[in-house]
Amino acid sequence: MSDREIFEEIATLERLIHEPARLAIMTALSSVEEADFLLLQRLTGLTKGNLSSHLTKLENAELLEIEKSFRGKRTHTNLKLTRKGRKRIETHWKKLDSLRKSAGNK
Amino acid sequence: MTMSEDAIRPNQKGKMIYDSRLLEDLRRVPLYIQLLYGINGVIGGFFLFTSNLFFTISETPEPWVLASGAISLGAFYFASRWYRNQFGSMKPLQGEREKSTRLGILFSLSLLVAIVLDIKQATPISLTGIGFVFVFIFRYVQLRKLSGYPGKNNYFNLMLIAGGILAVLFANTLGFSGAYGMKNFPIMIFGIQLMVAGIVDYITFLSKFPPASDTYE
Repeated sequence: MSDREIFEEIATLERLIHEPARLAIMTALSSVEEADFLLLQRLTGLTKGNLSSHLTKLENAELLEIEKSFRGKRTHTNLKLTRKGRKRIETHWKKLDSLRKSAGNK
Repeated sequence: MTMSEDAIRPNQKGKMIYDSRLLEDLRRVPLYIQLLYGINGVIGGFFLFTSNLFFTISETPEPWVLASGAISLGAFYFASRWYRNQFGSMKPLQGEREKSTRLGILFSLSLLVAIVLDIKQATPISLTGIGFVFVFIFRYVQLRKLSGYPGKNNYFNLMLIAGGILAVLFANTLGFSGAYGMKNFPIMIFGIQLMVAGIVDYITFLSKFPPASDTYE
């Protein structure tokens, strides 16, 4: 891959997914069927508000589903990637891997 | 414990920044998730083992044996609840669950054969020992598929083979002796298998991720 092709490929990367926190969220969720808010918070180290805001963005883009329920008196938030979300993160990592490979060969 | 401090620590403005190592670590998130499966295995295996140990060492179920078993099972319940409250919970992928189910069926069958046949004979005990080898191979293939790790000719392969051989020897020796009644021996073996699988995941995880001090700037 030439330098120009590499830059062209970078330009096609989705900003919505490529943001580091969202990429971590999407990657984690792609490894499981579903996970709860606490697990993602532990994994990413984000504050509740920050994580919540990223999740809303991803939900608005229909990349993940948020399901709220009650466990006793506590709210329990479950998160799951949609089919579209799963496909998009897979494609994104394929692009990143190919970019890294091309850059590594130079 | 979490990879957050190492991998995606926010900078002073609260934003996360990329570097090549960050990308590397993000790529390994599935392996981290695998570690969580492993920890679940260790916790589950440990309590399965201890709760059955009390039943196994006594021919007749004396009150203290039953109480110890009940305490161990109770501790398992509270440990699981504590773990969920501390680290959150997740549901494995459909494929992972199917694999676990297949593995579970395999063990159940070997246990059934062991129980139907004479438990004190070597052959059925060997089946549970062979189960050990299956667990090692299963975890090995799974981890390798997830991360391209471990590579060939490293300590992990040696551990895999040594673990399998030791397990068969161990199971056979105890099985031949017929010591301690062996009533719940196959269940104990299953507990140990879960623990070993979890520990293998943990070692793999530690060798894969940078130490805590090696953080991003």
